[in-house]
Amino acid sequence: MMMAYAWAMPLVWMLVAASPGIASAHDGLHTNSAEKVSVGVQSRYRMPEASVIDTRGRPVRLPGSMDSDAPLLVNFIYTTCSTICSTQTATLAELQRQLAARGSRAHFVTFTIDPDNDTPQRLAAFARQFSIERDWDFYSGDFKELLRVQKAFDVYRGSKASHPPVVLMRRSREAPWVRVEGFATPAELLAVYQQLPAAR
Amino acid sequence: MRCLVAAALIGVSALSAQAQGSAADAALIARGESIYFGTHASMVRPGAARVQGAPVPAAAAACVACHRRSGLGSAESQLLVPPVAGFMLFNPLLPQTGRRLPWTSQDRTRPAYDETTLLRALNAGVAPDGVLLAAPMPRFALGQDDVAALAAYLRTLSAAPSAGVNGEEVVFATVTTPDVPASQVRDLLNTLQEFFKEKNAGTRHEAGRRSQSVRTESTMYSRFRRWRLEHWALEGEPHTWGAQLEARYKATPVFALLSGVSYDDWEPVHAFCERSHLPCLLPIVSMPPAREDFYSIYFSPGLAAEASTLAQSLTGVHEVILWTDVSASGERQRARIDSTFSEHGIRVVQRKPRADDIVVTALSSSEIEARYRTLAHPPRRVYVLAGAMAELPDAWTPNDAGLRLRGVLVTSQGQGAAAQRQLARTRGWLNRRKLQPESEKIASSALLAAVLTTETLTHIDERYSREYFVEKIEHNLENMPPMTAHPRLSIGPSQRFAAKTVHLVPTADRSGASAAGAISMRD
Repeated sequence: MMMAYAWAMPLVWMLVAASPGIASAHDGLHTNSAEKVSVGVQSRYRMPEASVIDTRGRPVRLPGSMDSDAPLLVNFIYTTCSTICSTQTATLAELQRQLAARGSRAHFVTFTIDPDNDTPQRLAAFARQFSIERDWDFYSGDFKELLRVQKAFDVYRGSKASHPPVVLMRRSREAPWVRVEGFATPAELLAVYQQLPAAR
Repeated sequence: MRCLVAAALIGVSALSAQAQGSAADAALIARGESIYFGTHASMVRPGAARVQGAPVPAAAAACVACHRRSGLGSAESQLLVPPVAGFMLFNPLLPQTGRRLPWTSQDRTRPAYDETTLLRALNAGVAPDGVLLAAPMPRFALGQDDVAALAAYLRTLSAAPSAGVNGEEVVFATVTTPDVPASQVRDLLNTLQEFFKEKNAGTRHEAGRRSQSVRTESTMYSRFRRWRLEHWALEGEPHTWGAQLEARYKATPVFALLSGVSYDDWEPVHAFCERSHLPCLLPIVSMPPAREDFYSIYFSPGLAAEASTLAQSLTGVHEVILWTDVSASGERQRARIDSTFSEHGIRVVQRKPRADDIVVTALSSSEIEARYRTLAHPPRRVYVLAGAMAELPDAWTPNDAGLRLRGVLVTSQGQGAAAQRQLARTRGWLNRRKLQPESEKIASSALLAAVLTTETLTHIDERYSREYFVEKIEHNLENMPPMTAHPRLSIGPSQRFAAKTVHLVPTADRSGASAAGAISMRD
């Protein structure tokens, strides 16, 4: 844990220093706490076993397909969300474009936290709003299965409107997860991505 | 005489100028509304809105997505979306004005916006005092005339006081349709009236205390209003209900419709609520319209969802026998269920069931038992659409052993121990008040609607905007302690059916301990 802490500190510092937007949002005039971006290594996160459904209605067993050696990014949304979900997905779509431009291939996974409403068809319609390329899966399924995934990544807050804006990334199957909480810009996410810790 | 004519002419031209002025205002406001809702040309072209440099689709970037219909903002996680209604935006934000308004942090102060600073905020993300707007706020590329239109629209948001509320009382109505048996109307009214009586008893002195000091008047006690309940019992055919509702509403304006019961076509009530901008909160209805609008919030999509889930589970079945009530409302239920089945390629037929037939019912439990007893050859399965039943699905175990063996409940309500635990809260409430409803489904649903309204009105404080009331319910419903048999109730922005999962529960499998054998399916 000490190592993770030591690793995370310079990164947090870097985000604040590199971004005038974030820095000035904390000059005491503005108190919207959601603007803080925090980054931390979470060695204890494990993708649990879960059965989900992709946007074509096909069952998928996890971790299965997520356990590749490609870098992986995960976020949580619901399609009737008013603010956070579209914003964050648009940011990730931009990050995907920037990664592609650098010749880097990462796998993206988006889980709904409202599977009762977000059928595979609704998730597909949500995804179509963004210019998303391949290597991006949107998963729905049984409420309890999705709940297990949310709890494993500590994003479950009791009701969907309370869900925190979190992006999780890891460099490869054996590498630890890095949790980015807050509204990071595509450039900030890219900076975190490029410094993802390797497997130990 | 000439003077009179001249005066009259001036009068006429002044009037017509006024008329032209208001027509121009209306056009400006309409344009502003289309910008607010993200449908205007300046909002839908590619790259019209960016968040942190990334393009955002118009639906997500529209003002209404986050600041909502009320213009009073919203909250998601730690993110507070501030109010933009004109009365807030075009006035300075001071600690004392911010304090009691939604989603405004107490220590955020700023000067009033004007159209110039609003344009800068929208395009460059800078507030009048130079503070950068929060990261999720999109940056637009709007023109000064767009902003003039938007400002005109913002000034209309949550501006007028709502009908049905004054300094002393809040008026609600509950609606029933003529097909509902008298005992069920009684269960609905007894529950609501008892709740209202206690609510008013608990706050009967608060109104008087307002006068004791200036401070209490403006703060603590002003939110305590007497609640009054109207019962709007509709009569006759559904096509006349809209006019009946209009007449009742004109005679007694209400703030919202609360609960209600109907097994008939609810479309006329739904349409009335949408056009009157009247919240219609959790009626117990089996035939709401399928579409999700703004003002009406339902427990479930009713018979249509039950029939749809059932049809999906009946693989290889091409026809079913449908039992509905012999009445005009029963015929309308039949039409609704029939069209749902035909969408799934299943024909609805009418004949005496044979041994290999499948029977689907939209009837009360006693009627199902009565019809089943007359059969010479029991059918293969009897699927019971619970949306047509007054009792909780859990409360019905068929008397006939054959029916018990063949019966399958199709319902969005929960079963077994979990449902019983959830209902304990309601039963305790009813018992203490010596209320013994015949329909626990109606009593528990009505009580939840009333408690949810209390909770929500406490949150909205003095801001009696109906839109804001609905938006707060989107949050609050999910956080309510369970009081009905529904496993989960949750809505959200543009989500209006609280329970979407339909289960198939064989009556033979019910041990009372759990929902063993329940087949969980989604519509």
